[in-house]
Order: sequence, then C-alpha cells, then structure tokens
Amino acid sequence: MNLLAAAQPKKQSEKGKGFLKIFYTLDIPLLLIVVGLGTIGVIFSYSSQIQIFETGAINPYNRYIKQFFYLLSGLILVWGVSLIPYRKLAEHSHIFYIGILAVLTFTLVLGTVVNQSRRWISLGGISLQPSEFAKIVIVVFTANYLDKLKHGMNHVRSLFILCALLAPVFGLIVLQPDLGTAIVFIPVVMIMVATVNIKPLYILTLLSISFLVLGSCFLLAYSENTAFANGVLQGVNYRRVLFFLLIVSLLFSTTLWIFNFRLMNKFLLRLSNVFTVIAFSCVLTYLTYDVLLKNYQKKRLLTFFNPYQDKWDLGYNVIQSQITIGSGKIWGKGLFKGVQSQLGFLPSKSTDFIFSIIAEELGFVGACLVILLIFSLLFRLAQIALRVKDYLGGLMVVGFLALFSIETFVNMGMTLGLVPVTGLPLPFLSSGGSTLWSSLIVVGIVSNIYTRRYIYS
Amino acid sequence: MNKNPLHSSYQPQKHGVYMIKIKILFFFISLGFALLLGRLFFLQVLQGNYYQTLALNNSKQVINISSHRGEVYAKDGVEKIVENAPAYSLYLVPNNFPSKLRQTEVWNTMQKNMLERFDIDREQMARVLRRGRLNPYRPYLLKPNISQKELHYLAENLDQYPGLLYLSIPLRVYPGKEKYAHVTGYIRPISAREVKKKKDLGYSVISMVGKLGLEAYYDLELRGREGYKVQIVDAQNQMKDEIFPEDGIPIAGKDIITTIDSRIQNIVYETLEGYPGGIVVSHAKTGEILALHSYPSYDPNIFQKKIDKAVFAEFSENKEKPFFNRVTQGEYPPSSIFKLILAITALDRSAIDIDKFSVYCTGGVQIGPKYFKGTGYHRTQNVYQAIANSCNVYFYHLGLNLGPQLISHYAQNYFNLGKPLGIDIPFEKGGLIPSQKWKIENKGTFWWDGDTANFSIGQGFALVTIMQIHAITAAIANGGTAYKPHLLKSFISPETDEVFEERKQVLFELPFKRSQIEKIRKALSYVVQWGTAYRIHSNKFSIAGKTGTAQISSKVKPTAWFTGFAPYKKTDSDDVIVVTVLLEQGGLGAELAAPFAKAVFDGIFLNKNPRLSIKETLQPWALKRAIYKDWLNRRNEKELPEGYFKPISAIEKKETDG
Repeated sequence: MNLLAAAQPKKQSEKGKGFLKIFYTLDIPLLLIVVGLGTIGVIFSYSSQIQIFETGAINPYNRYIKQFFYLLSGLILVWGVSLIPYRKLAEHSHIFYIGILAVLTFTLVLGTVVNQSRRWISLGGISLQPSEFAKIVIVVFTANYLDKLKHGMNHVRSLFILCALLAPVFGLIVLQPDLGTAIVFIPVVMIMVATVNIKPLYILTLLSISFLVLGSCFLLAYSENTAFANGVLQGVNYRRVLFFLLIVSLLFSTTLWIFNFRLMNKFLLRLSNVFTVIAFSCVLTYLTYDVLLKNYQKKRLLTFFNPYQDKWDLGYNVIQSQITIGSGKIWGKGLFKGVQSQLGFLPSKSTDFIFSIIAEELGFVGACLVILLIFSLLFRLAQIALRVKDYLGGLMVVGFLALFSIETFVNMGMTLGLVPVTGLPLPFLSSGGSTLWSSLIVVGIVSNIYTRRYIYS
Repeated sequence: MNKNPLHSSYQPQKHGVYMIKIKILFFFISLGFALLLGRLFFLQVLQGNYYQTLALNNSKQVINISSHRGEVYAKDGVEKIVENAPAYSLYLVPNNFPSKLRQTEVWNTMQKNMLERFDIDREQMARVLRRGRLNPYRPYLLKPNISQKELHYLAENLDQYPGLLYLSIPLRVYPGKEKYAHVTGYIRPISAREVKKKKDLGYSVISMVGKLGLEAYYDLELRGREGYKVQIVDAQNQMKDEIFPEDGIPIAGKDIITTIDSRIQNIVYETLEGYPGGIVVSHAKTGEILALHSYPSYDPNIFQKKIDKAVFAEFSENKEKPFFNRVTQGEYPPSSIFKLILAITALDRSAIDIDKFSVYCTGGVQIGPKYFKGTGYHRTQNVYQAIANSCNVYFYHLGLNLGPQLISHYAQNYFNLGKPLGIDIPFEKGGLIPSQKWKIENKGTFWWDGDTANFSIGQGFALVTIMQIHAITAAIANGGTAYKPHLLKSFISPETDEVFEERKQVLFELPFKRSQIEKIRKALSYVVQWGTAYRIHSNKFSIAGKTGTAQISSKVKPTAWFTGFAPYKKTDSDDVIVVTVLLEQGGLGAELAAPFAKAVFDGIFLNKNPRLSIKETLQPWALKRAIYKDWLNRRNEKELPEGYFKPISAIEKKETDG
C-alpha cells in the first residue's frame, strides 16, 4: 500500500497542487499555535540567559540558540511523523514499547548523572531524555491496547493486565529517579481508560483510590514532620491510624465476603468491596510513602503547605517564583527586563520556571495571553478528539490532551504555588530538546490522526 | 470484527457517552485553567505591590558604613585617653555559607577547619547562623579584632571559606586600662533592642554604642553620623551595582579634649589602688575635674577583644562592683561634712550669733528617751572648735536650734543636695535630703528631735554623692561660687578644625556674704592644723578640709570621708585644688581618708610618690593597727617605674609656704 497516497484525505487533495501536497498531513491551526508557543519559548530562553549589567556577553552556543534549532528540527519532525499513518504506529506500538524499555534500561545503567539522577543519555553532543519519549509510547501503547478490547473495559482483569504491562516503564523511570514524570502516567492512563466503555463504578473506584492515596500521603508527611503540632488532631500519629484502618477494613471486607456466600446480598457485597478499596488504598499509601517517596520529596509536600517553614532551602523556589510572578503586576517589567530572573533569584528559570519569567516580564496581560495560547491548543486537541471517527485515534488524542493539560496545570500550578514542586516541564515553552521534540512528535501524530479521519472512518 | 476499522462499534460519534466524556474532561481542564488564571490575578493584580517590594528587598541591600569615632584626649590635648587602632574583624555572610542540609560532609570539615583556624566558639557560630536566617545577606560579626596571622591566612585562603569576610573595623583602645575607665566608660556593639529604640538618632545594626562614662554621655558627638550605601546584588550575593546616596556619606565624630590631667589621674589612681572608694580632684575656680577615679575599676579593652558573656558576668556579678562609679553613683551618708552646711546655714540666717554661740560638750546629749553620743569630751566649743574637733554635741544643739525644715531647705536649694549636679557622666545619682514630710510618706512615722540631731551630724537618712560634697568644698574654697563639675574641655571637629569650648557654668552661690566665708575657711584650716586631721598637716603647703566618718551599720566598718583644698592661703588663686576622698569601710575619716587626700596633694604639689606619702603619714601610729596593716597588704608593693610622674608643674614652684 502506498502510504503517501493513502495519507491524502479526499477533500484536501482537491485543494492543493504539486509540491504543497506533501504538507497536506499537517493541521494548520495546531501548527500555528505550536510555532507561536515554540517561539515564545525561544525568546524566553534568551531572556533567562541575560544577566543584569552584563549584556552583550552572551555565549553564542547558548541555550536559546540550541532551543531555536530544536524548534526548527522539531517542526521537520512534525511533518515527518505526520506522514506515518497512525494505525501503523499503533500496530507496531509493542515494538516501540520494547524499544523504549531497552533505552530506559540503558539510561539507568549508562546514563549521565545530573543532580543525582540518571535521566540523560548523550548521543554525539546532544543529550536526550528517554522518559520524555516514553510518554508518547505509553499513550500509543495504551490506546492500542484499549482499542483491541472487544467490549471495552468491563472486566477488572483487563485493567490489571494493562497495569502489569505499563509497570516496567513506570518502574524504570521511578528508578532514575524521576517521580514527577512517572506519576503523570497514572492520571493519563486513567483518563484514557475512563474514555472507553467502562462501568462508571470502576471510574469511581479508581478515582477514590487515587484520592485516598494522595490525601493519605499528605497527611503522613504532615504528621511525621509536625505530629499535628496545632489544630484538632493534636499529637495524632497518622501512620498508626492508617494501620488501624487497614486492619479494620480487611477484617470487615473478609467477614462481609464470607457472610455473603449465604446471604447473596448485593448491598453487603458492595460494602465488602468498599472496605477492600480502603484496605488497598492503605497498602498503596504505604508503598508510595515508604518506597517511592524520598525524604526530600516528603519535605516538598510539606513546604507546599508552608513554604516559609524552610525559606532558604526547599521553600526557596516556591517563594521566589511567586515573588517573580507577583512583582510583574499587570503590565510586566518589559521584555528582557525581568530583574528577578536576571539577578538569579529565580532557580531553573529556563526549564521548570519559565512561566515565572513570562509573567514577570509581560505581566498579567502577557501571561494570560500565553495561557490562552496553551488553552487554545488544548481546545483544538479536544475538538480533534470529538471529530475523529474511530476509537483508536480518539483514545490517542485524549491521551495526549490529558498529558498536555496535566503537564501544563502542574507546571504552572507549581510556579503559582498551587501544586507541590515537581520537575515537570511546560510543553513547548520549557527549554530542552527532548521535551520540545516529544511534544512536537505528539503534534505530528495528532495532525496525522486528524487529517486521516475520513480514511479510517 | 476487531480488524475491521469501519465497523460501526468503532465509530465514537455514534456513542454519545464518548462525546460526553470528552466534554466532561474538557470542562475539568477549563476549570483547572480558571484556577490558574484566578491565582495569577491574585498574585499579580491584587498582591502585585506586595510582591514588588519583596522583589526589591531581594536585590537591594543597604550596607552601613561606620563613621570615624572621635578620640578622647587628656587636658594637654596631646595624650590620648581613648584612641582608635587599625584592626580587622571577621564577618560571616550566612547566605554564602554552604547550607547545612545540602553538603553535610564538606560542610562539617570546612566548619571544623574554620572553627579551629580562627578559634571561633561553636556556639557563637550557631548563633550567627540562627540569626542569619532573618537576613542572610548581611555580614554578621563572628570575631572582632583578628590577629595579624589570621588575617594573612584568611586573605590567602579566602576561596576555601565561602561566606567569610574581613572588614576593617577600627578597634577602640583604652591605653590607660583601668585608670581612666570610670571617666571614659567603654563601647560595645549595639544590641537589637537598642537599635529599635534609638533608630531615630541614627543608630544602626553595626553601630557601636557607648556604655558608661564619656563614651555614653557624648556618644552622639563622638560617633558623628554613620553612612550607608545601596548595593544591588544577585542571588549569589555578587555585587552588580553600587549607589552612594548623598545623605549616605559618613561624617566623622568630634574629638574630645577632657579636663583630666593625666599626671594627677596617675597619682589618684596609684593612691586609691587596692581600696574600694572614690577620689575626685578638681579646680576650685572652674569646676574642671582634673582626676576622677573609683576603685575597683575595670579594663574597657576586654570588651573589645571578645564578646563573651562569661567575662561580662564576671564583672557585673563581682561583689565589689567594678562598673559602679562611686564618685557619681555612690550614695553615702554625708556624716560630719554635713556640719559645714549647718554652720553656713546658721551664719546666713543669723539665727544665732555664731561668733558667740558656744556649747559645753559633755560627750553627749540626752534627747527624749535616747542618749546621743558625741565624738569626745570637748568642753566649751565655739564654731571653729566644733568644726575642727568635729564636735557632735555642738551641732546637735545648733541643729535643734535651726530646725530640720530650715536645714533641708538650705541643703536642697542652696547646696544642690538631693538632686544630680549634671556632671557629664551618665547615671549620676542625686542622693537624698530628708524632711518631715518625707519621713511620714516613706517611713510612716513622725519626725522627732532625735532625727534632727542625727540629721545635724549627717547621719540618719541623708545621702549624698562624693561629687556633691566635692562641689560644696570647691565653692567654699573659691569664695562662694560652685561651678558645675565637668569633664569636657572642648570638642574638636576633625573636618572643620573648629573648637567648641565648654564654658564654666555656675551651679549655685553659697548663701552668705563674702566676709563670712573666711570664717568657714579658717575653721577648715583649723581641722588640719590642730583638729581631727592634724596628722596630715604639712609644712610645705597649707591644706584645709573636713573629715567625716559615716556609720552605716554596726557590722561593717564606717565609711571614711575627707574633703579639702589646698593651698588654703591663696583665696582667689586659679591654682586652688580641691580633693575629695571616700573610702568604703575605711574606718575613721581622719585616720585613713585624710592621709589619702594628703598623698594626692603631695603628689600634685611635691610630685611625691603617693604610697610613700601615705606610709609616712601613717607610719608613727596607724601601721601598728591591724586594719591598716590589712589594707596595706592588699596593694601590690611594686616599685613605681622611674619617671612615672611628670616634672613638677608651675604650681609647686609658686607654692612652697606651709
């Protein structure tokens, strides 16, 4: 089958002629938004390099030039990826999956150590971050898996199989350690699972488990650091409470379950399940808190509540970021005039905290425009998800939509003090080749899905 | 079915649930973005100004520049009592100091090295780091006045100790050590509480503030005005820009020339060494204080070398109270010296014919239920004899004649007793002059004639300071005018070279005619010629004075007073010098305080070693007595170096009669 010929949508093939035909697989609105965001990213990676009173002394091999080339090559990548039919991608997703597993293992063994974690592999001067690309593979792989299920996700077994399949990638990224990136997979996969035919009760169960675990982790961190020094729960050891809860719910669920053999009462069965869920969450909380989370991460959870408690160490980023954003006021300090970033008070300014510089230099108005741009990107993705005519494409777009929106929300929320500090980048804006390339590959896949919607409908 | 992509079950649009799910998902995404926008609005629009000031505080750093502190000179304007010496202090900028949390091993070894190299107290270090959390960009004092060796080492290895810093902070040096301590006081770094209180006066966190003495009284003049500069720093505390505002240029403080004569101060210091008490010497004609000393004293330099609570506690908890300036702060019963006030009051009021009024002293008086003892069996006494012999009985009668109201009225209004004189040393005490009203209010009982009797001989409730008695003696010596005692001769402004002369100020005039003063002066000279202080009678120059013995309680020895002036025969001379001596638990005034005063006069007029003089005066009789042996043993018997005293001044050449 001629791939190129198959790629031409019927309606669009009538519009263009000749050479331009090869760009028909691109979605123009999406591309415009992405180019806009990428340009802003390059501009602010330049801005983040400026040091006050030393203008003109910028290294030519600096980050912003690299970023510019990443953007250019990434746009070519968009076009290249959009040529490959997404069904082919999905059919071969297991190969990609094995490939990414191999690369992640390689990273873990031979990767470059930066800030006490092995996240990078160097390939001839360019360092890549495989976990960024793992995101795409996970989404495509999950979409393919869900698509293959005959009757949707109506069996718990399929869910467990999916979890078991994704666990290695998750584990390898956690081991790097890069918990932020790994954690994002969970809501993304959950949203994708929720999109297919699934009993609402399952969604409810998943949601309640995740909220229980999240809340318990916060409470554990809080109780272990301050032992509820003030407030209602004075002197309560939450670990003991959790253990008590686990034992009680296990007892209840097993007794109810045994009783149920005779009574066959549906209500009792549900009740037994509720207790099972609670017990499961307790175990998960223990695992997350004691195995996954490191001490500094636990402290981060705490500093989120009160950054001034550890003003000069862990809370420093949060406080300085908020000062940077707040001092921008309505109209900003002007492009390339951000004092906070140029004097170095803002940490990791070109990657994680790039939004803070934008808000400082362009003010509320500029930051709103940037947010609007990202929002329009997500809107376009949602629109595409609604227009796509098959489940596979729809699931993939939903997965990417979830990925982008979570990353954006977590990153911006972090700079604004709404979310604990995690190392998640802001898609298209944060400096870094891997991030930008993986985001642009996603754009390529999505426009590919959109332009081919009639072929597979 | 699976393989056919066109199967109807794969068309999402046919499943309303799928569409709704995506819409719900997008609704939640929008909700998230609304939250972000709301937070952004809150931070930038509602709280923008607040965060703007926070951002400014981040990078703006006000650095105080200390000003040159004025130096203090002796009377001749050459000898320095207090001077500044070049010195370097070790500072720490906590922000640049590696965080304890991040680099445990490196931090430990570096800190250990640092503490050992510079001999820094571990607690001091911890205190600085704890305080540094509030403002980590400002340098905190780790160790004042580092040695030359440490300075060289640090200058070479500065990169090994991030956060350390040395700044040139001139060291205050008190070359006289204990000798001038009660005149000059000392300076210390200002405390946080004081900064808050004195911010309006221009004090800042790096200020040194004068404690006690001239350093405290003339603190504002001495320190000039501190300057400041504004630095723009980045997160690494690297300075990016520096602004020198016009009002930030430091102004040097004024130098002070004191009235202290270093030769006389030497004499006084040597005289008093070893015995708790105070001596003050001044010019009768001007009120200039030539020497002022209080024993025990302290070395002001110790507060410069190390900020150590233990050292400070050692001084402040010392039972002999080295910080206590006995001359201005010590309140003692005036004892027999108060008899002068009684005599002057009687002369002025003409209540009795003072020349003819005489009392037959039988060694005591019975007043009501109590028998008041006198100082001896003197028989007939007129005023000269009564003063010379310090006859209590005479003054019991005189006091009862005058009445307590009149005495306290005169003491308060004409002799400035009961309130501070206004000498330029801080924390001066005013003493106490009782009255009938005072006794009812404070003691709850009525005044009776026994109180009057006690009051008349300076016992009982009345309290005075050495300085007050000194001022009265000076007034008698110069013919009736009391000048405000002062230590300041003039200011020298180092920038303009202007000299501000301190004028002598009249404090009070003795309330009687000029001719009558001779009677009192004559009585005072009789005290020395054949009265209680006959032992200090000198052939070389004439001394006039009055002894006093203040009974404080039956358990401790009485406090010994002597106040006097010499030469007696030169009434209006500029050279009349007044000396007041007080010795705590010194026994009888005539036996110990008077020889001390003689020693001071000997030193001033004859340039005689005061210790030798005291020994000579005491030799024939007192040395045999245990108490004097005791205190003589307390002093170290070192020989004074040759040329310790300067050549005899002009005073001595003129004054050779006796």
